[in-house]
Amino acid sequence: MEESVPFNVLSHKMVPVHELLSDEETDKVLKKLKITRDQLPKIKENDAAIKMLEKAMNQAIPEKSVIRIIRDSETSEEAVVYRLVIRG
Amino acid sequence: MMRGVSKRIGSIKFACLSPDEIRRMSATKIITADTYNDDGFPIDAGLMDTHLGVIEPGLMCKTCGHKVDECPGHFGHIDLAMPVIHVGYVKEIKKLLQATCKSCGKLVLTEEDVKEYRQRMDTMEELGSDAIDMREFSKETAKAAAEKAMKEVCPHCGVEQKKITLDKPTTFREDGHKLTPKEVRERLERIPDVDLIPLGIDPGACRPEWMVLTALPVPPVTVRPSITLESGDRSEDDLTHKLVDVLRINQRLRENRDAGAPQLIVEDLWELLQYHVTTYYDNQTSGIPPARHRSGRPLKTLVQRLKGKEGRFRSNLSGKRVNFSARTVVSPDPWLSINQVGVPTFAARELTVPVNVTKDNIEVLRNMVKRGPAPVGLVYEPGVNYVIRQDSRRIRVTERNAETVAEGIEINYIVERHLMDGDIVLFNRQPSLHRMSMMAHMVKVMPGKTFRLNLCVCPPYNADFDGDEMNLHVLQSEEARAEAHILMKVQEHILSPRFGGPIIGAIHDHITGVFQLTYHDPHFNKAQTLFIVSKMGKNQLPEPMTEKGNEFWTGKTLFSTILPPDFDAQFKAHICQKCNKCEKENCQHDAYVKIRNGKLLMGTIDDNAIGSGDGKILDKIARDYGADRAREFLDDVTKLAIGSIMVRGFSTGIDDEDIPEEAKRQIEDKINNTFSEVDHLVASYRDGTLDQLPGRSLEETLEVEAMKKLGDARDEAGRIAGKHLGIENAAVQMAKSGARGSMLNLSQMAGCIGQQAVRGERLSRGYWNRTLPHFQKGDLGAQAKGFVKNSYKSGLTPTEFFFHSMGGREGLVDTAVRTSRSGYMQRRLINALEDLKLKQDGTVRNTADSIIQFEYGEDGIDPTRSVQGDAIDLDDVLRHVLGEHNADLLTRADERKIGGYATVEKDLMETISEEEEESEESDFDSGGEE
Repeated sequence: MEESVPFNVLSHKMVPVHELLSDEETDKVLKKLKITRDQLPKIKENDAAIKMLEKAMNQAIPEKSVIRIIRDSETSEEAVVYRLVIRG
Repeated sequence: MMRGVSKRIGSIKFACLSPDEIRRMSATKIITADTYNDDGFPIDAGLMDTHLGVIEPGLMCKTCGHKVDECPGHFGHIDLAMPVIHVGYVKEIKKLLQATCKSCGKLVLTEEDVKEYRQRMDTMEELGSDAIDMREFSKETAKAAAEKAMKEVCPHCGVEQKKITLDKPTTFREDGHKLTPKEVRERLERIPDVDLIPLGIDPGACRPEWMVLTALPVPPVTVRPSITLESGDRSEDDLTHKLVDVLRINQRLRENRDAGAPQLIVEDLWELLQYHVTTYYDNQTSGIPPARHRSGRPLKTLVQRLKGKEGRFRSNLSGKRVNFSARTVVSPDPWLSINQVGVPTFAARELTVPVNVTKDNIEVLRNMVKRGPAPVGLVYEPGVNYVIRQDSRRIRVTERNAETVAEGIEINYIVERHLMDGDIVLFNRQPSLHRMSMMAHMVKVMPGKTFRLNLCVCPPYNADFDGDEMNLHVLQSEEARAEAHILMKVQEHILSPRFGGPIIGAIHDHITGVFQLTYHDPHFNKAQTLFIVSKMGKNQLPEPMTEKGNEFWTGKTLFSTILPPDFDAQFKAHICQKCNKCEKENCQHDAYVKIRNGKLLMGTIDDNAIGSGDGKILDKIARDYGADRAREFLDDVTKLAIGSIMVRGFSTGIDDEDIPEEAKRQIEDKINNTFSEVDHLVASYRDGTLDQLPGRSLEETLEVEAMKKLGDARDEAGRIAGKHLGIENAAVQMAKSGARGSMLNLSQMAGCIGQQAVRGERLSRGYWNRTLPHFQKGDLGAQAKGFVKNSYKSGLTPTEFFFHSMGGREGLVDTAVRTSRSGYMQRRLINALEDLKLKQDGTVRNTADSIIQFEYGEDGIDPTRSVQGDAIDLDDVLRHVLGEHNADLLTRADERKIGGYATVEKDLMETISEEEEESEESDFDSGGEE
């Protein structure tokens, strides 16, 4: 049922850029922030953006992956945030 | 006091009480339902047994041997004849019964499934899920098991499962057959420990069968004290009443059961016991009638004691009553600094500050103690109420013993001296909606009975003087005082974090005062100048100017004396007419303010310069010169304005709205014209020649057109009236300078009040097809639908007055609804955000140290230090870098900014806030008690 929806949310202008971080990048980010994975904000595996991202990259995004989201911000030009993929 | 000794709470664990634990912690078993014997002494094994603590002076606790106030009280217990279900746990019990097998008690899931669920829980824990997520997940697990149980047999023992339903509040049924609490308990006992973990229960903390009670803890008597009435009768606490009921039925149930009474009778009594135990915990359980007092009042049992606004949490734990505080009416005093608060002597003598006696202050303090608790004399001098010795014994200082106590003062004593000038206190007005609702002030003890405050601090507290009361708290420790000095003083809050501008600033007469001082630069002779300057406490007049041999001073020079010597600024004043092309330096209206090197070269000082909310000068001084200088400036402005306004005096009255007959006629004509235009519209609507607006029905088109016409008529009336109200008019001065009121208010007083509206539409409801019975049915004309043609001055006709009341009522209802709703929203928001804090690395985190924002506000800017929300004041920087004379470059920068997205947004916000203000300050404002 969900799969039948043809619309790619990632291409909508209101949806910010989502990127999957590689393991090295993840480690770098965590090290920079001096945190462990569990302290990151979360995003559910079944989030529309994650599902579209999986489709676009043609690979599954496993739990514990970290997603980088680059958003337009009213206060700064753009805001970079990270989210941890959890099972939804 | 044990300073420096502190323990850190690592974690708190909540668990169920096992029957065993209930009995172990019990001081005595309660058997009889009686409380006191004939002599008025507590009965042994009764509900007031002295093993449970004492509430009467003279008696001794049989458990700990202490007396009243020393003995904390001890729990007892009641052994229940038959088990009953604890209402607080019915949901859990239902979940457990449905998810587990009726015969073997295991979770109705395969081993592999259970394993997976447990694994999922582990990863969730690892990935930082909180307790709420975990509970959600275990609920899912239970649901999965319950669903499986409905479809399949138990995977462990192969028994078919039956459907368990809950008959609210406490009856469980299996395929319609009642399950007794005893049977429920037996089933819960069968559930193995390992299967509890995926269901979200820690078997170490709680075995499920404990949710069915076999023993009931009896709270200490100190928790449910009885009161002795004047008549000598005893009145028991609601909890005691309820426990008496439980005991009685328990007793009867036991007797009947032991005597082998018929099953039916035993079951009835059992259910009755269940009812009493249920209401003992929660007397508002849905599905059963609440237990009542003899008078018919529902009993206040355990849950009712804790829940809601008046419950233990919100009223006794989150909010407590405090000592060293005072509350009284506030009144204004412009001679106080914004940092000060005037405290009446009477209050100052009650409020005390503890001072440690050292070798340096011992003589001073000894003198204070000598003065006793109520020194006399014209000048206020602090006395002392209490002296605390090293062994923390308090000695009350009285007039009699003052001398002797004073002699006995030693080093390391603590002296609780009266409040005196310069002490720092917290000052607060409810509702405390933002951090500026509670600020630190310096005490100034004065005669009178009210707290006095500078008018500039009214906006942050939202205070006025129509009977407002405020609270004052005296800080008791050195740390608190230091913190208040650095963080909470009024001067530190001149700039608001809400919009990055000054929230503390001049209001009302202060703005009028400086407006009169600077508008078109009036001249003052030496006497007048001295009068003004003397108010400020300056002892030097500025350089005079001379004309025809006469010395004089201009208002702008006087204002310049309070500016920092190197101050530069330029902006448009509030009186700006918003001309199409700004003439800047050549402004006709003296509305372009330019300050160079601390000299006001041109322009009028008004709301936009020093006002609360918009004061550009204030903003810049606070930002560039610091809080101290801003406070000094504000204090000076206050006094300068007072001096200036007193030179001429200032007053407004109804005759300020007088307009010539000619103008009245013009307004009348204009309105009558509009009426006939509206009639034309109605006529064309009737015969179908009205052009329909896109996206609107014909009726809507008519309404929109008519509203527009009538709105224009009111504006026109206002304009005509305004033409005759010059700037020499006091009311106009207030409106134009931004001190109080608006030109709209004035035009409604002098010209025409205009269309009244409810829900943004012309009035239409009331009678059938008309607003009032003396209009034609279906009349769509202006006057039949709530247009008020008169002005407040000319007076309203009865119909107009009625229409006006309809519009006014909507405003009242709206504010009432808005305040309650926004209050609740605020509460929810605060509860959600209260544990967030900005960490050293710029991230926002909660108490679990999880990240909420990677960079505070995404840009890391403190809005208090921002320039109207921007990180830096680009215009100012450019002007500094490019210099004064690169005018065209600066203009280009201006233009670029207007095109920018941020400016548009800001303009939008400005208009919104203006609109809000107008609706707020409608005709029904200013009602005394709010």
